[in-house]
Amino acid sequence: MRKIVAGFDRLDGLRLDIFTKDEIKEIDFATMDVLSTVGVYVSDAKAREVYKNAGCEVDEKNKVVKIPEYLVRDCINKCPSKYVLAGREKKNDFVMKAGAEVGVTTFGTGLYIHDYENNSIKESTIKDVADSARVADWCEHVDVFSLTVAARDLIKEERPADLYETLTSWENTTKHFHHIDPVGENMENYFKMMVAYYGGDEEMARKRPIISALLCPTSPLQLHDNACQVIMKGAEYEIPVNVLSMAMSGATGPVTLAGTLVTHNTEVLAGIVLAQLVNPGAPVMYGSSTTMFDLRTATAPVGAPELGLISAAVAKLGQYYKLPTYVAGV
Amino acid sequence: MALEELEEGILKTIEQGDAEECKRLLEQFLKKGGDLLALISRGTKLMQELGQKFEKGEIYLPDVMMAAEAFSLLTEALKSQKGAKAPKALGKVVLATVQGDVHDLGKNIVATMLAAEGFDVVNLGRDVPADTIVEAAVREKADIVGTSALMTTTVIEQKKVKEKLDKVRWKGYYFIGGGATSDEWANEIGAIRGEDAIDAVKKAKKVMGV
Repeated sequence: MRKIVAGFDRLDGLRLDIFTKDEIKEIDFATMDVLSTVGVYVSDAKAREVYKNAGCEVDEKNKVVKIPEYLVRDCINKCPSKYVLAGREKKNDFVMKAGAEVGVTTFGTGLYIHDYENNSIKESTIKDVADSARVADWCEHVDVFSLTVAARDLIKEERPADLYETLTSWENTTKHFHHIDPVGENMENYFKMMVAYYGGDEEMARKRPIISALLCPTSPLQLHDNACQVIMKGAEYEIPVNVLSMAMSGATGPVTLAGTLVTHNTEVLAGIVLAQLVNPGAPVMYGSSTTMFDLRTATAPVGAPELGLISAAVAKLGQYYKLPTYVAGV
Repeated sequence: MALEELEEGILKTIEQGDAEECKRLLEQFLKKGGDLLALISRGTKLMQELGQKFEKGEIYLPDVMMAAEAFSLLTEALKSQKGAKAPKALGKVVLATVQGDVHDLGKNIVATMLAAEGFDVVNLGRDVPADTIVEAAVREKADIVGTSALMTTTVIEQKKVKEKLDKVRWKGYYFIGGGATSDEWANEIGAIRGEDAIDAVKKAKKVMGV
């Protein structure tokens, strides 16, 4: 392809260089070392089998998977650096791509909502999911909708809240819906709902997914059942998956930010490898809500200055691996 | 070293969170026939002081956790002594992170803080089925059962545990905590909610009347 600016290091967006080239390599090398010598705890037996068949060293007794460097690099190269998070209306498509172009999404799955009519705080319901989706639909700078609140009324009634949250979001916004609380067992159902939306056209559902899913490894260095299922089923159905770690430096990650970046990177790459082993070329996001742990109050301040530093560092890691990246902001 | 010196030394190592040195001094202390019960009683007071300092923001969480680790050497030593009668704990607490949830950092902090305050804590770990929690509550004759849930999808388990506890007619205080819980939820299922570790300890002491 012809380059617009030959011989230049072109970024197409905001540049915030938190590392030198050598420093980012140091994080990368340390990560490869952890992946291949320490490994990652993987609770899901099927996921362990996938890793094993690809040549990973698997300790079935301790459920630890060690991933060799060549496999990690191979899998990173298999990830698409660009794909579409489709909206129900094409004008609302968001192109997810590696680099420095920034988009904005809502986030949170909060538990309460401010009832502005009565000036009181109340527990959120499925109606609040619908209302917040409408607001996000209206806000022109919100590119993708994620749950701002949970449908707690449905959770209490023991109904499948995650499915209703999906349907309600689709009903109330034509923007792409990024499900941040997906249930592994329901990944097939999200896909079926998409196929139904496209009038039974499975190919369209794969080509223009109007849902993507977020999963969290458990820090430090663990992938549990739900995370494994979301990754494997997501890859199978080509639903974009966001492998997002939320390590807390000083609690579930080393106390130094650079050390936490290494364990964070290890967790995310282990998840991305799993996706590519199941279906090479499956769309993935490199995710982060990694922050620090306040050792004075024993809380995780998502909004601390350290979170900004880590997010800036993660953006650089994503660019280094040429992966579409998703980070926590303020 | 004389016994008094050893005793002071051990308390100092607890305060400094130096488990290794604490172990070394404790061995000497026991060899010389020191009064372990009296030492534990002083240690408990020290741990309570440290808990208060943490609450005031004067010391950090790792200070408390490392001190608790050193202090636990004393209670472990007591358990291994034949016929030794343990000092009465403030109460017995069974703690678990509910089934489907693997986020156990907060619950473990609560466990440490409760133990530091003098509670006898049975920590069942994470992703624990409701039946296992109920069995443990009955078996351990727990005064308090506490469950933790971080995810909106797993809070429902807290209700199931409460229902099962009621079914076996367990008489005690049911505590809940974790990011996805609320006071409304606690009221609805008939539980006491700890906002954080400090609040959980405060409420646990309150229900036990101490």
